[in-house]
Amino acid sequence: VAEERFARWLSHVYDVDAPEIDCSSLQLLLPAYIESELGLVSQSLAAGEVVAVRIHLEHCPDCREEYQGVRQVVTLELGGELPEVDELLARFADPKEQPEPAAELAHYSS
Amino acid sequence: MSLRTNEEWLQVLGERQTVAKDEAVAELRNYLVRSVLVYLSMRRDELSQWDSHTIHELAKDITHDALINILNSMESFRGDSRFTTWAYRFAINRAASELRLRRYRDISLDQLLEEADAFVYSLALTSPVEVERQIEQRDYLELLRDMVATQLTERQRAAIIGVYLWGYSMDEVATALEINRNALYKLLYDARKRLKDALLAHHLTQYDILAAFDE
Repeated sequence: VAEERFARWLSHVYDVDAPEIDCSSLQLLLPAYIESELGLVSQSLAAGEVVAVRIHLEHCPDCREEYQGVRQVVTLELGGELPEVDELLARFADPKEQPEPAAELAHYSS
Repeated sequence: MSLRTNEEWLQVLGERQTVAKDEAVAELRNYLVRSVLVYLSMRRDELSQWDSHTIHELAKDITHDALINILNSMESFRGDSRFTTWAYRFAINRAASELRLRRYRDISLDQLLEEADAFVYSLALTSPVEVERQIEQRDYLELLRDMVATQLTERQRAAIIGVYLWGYSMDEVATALEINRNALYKLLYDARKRLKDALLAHHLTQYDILAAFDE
């Protein structure tokens, strides 16, 4: 496990490229980025912005959590499967219910 | 899926107190509370001690805060996504922050620095390898330890080890360093760049280093 963490740590070091966007800029781009990923809009972000979002998400665990959450909600809504409140609350009461899966982060190559 | 267009959302939410605006706010609130509950459902393992009533109350509180934030931030909507997707971001951001706060570990800069010093030693050589490889591995680890100690500032060292090696959240480390998340990301970026430059100056790629640890 230590070696896996070490390998990931090294990747963070070597994957540094200039310049990278900060968390506030990421938050502004995130909705359009997610919709592009889900094929909802043709191409509203510039190619450089798409790469910048991907790089930031690779290196920022907190923004990545939020990306996964928004993406899951939009995916459900697009499929007409965003559950109603009562249905969602019932899931917490049922121990057999599985948690909503988190979206995998799309891999990028820099 | 919302039947309102972006323009319709913006127009009705921009109105003064009208029945149409109240209806739109109620519709948006409903979408947001469902989005929050979906997110909490993704993190159910952290809420296993909570009953559904408490979770509902938490979701409503988060939604209330997010809704106020959205209505105060309408001018920042760029129009490059659906309005609801833009709005979900506020709700999920607020929900994620709330959960991070609840699992928050109070750490100090000193603790982070101690852990930074310990990081190389955590890479104990678990499998028996021939002496030649042991020496190669030790040389790399000593070089990295030396670079982390000499090329980075205290705060850079604490950040890059705390977030990327020990798995503390950005919020936890930012609080320990008394900076915000944006500043922490910049600190991490500078630390990564300094280390990469130092490693490349030694003509070392990550594959050279990792190859020494391959079983």
